[in-house]
Amino acid sequence: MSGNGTNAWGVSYSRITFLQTILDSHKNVSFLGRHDDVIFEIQRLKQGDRLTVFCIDAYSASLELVMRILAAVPSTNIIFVGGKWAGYTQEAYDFCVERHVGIYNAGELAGALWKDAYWTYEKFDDEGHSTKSIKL
Amino acid sequence: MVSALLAENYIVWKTLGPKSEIADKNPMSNAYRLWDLRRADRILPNNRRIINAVRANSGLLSKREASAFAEFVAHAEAYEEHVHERLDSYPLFPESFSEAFSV
Repeated sequence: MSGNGTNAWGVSYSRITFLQTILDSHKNVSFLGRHDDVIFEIQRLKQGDRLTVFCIDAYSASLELVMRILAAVPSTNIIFVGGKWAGYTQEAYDFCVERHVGIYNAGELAGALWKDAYWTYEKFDDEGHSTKSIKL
Repeated sequence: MVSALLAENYIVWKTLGPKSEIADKNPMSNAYRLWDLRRADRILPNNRRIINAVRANSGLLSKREASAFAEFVAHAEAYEEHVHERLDSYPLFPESFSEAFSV
């Protein structure tokens, strides 16, 4: 890992500040700090737990990428994959859920941060279908 | 016909896709829904129309065009699967096809 300012994960400063804005404005989150450029430490007010959020910028986060992140930072609780265009494969999602790791894009993260079992959060459309960022 | 359909797809990708200005400048925008819709109701059908049109005239293709077309088919079929269930990689749009078939 590197110090703040550069990172080996290819995440731009604008994406890092984008996640910071989401976390700063969330009513259930107290921001504790950021280190290694892409790793955010937060505390949730309702649950009282501390979570480590890993920021990447992946249009389609793969199982390989998720495995690499969790190998590098085993304490990761949530992987943030980027804006609403970003998502993750079914394999990456399943791997994360089995390990109680949440994987979310910008449209999903805020809701997940309210849920006790944050790794299980899903959004549903008006017809009750999951809008997880895997399928159309 | 092929070049017009390619142009339509390119504009959708350029204005609404993951590398569009809106996706870059406002990653929280709900314009991503337009991207989801347009790739399903515009890009995929256009790709199928392109494949059908070229196949119907496959006897007229030069070796270079046939090779470019084969690359496009590999891209289009994988991309359709990606739209239905996200893949972490697939053959990207081949520039060779655009060069060979755009007027």
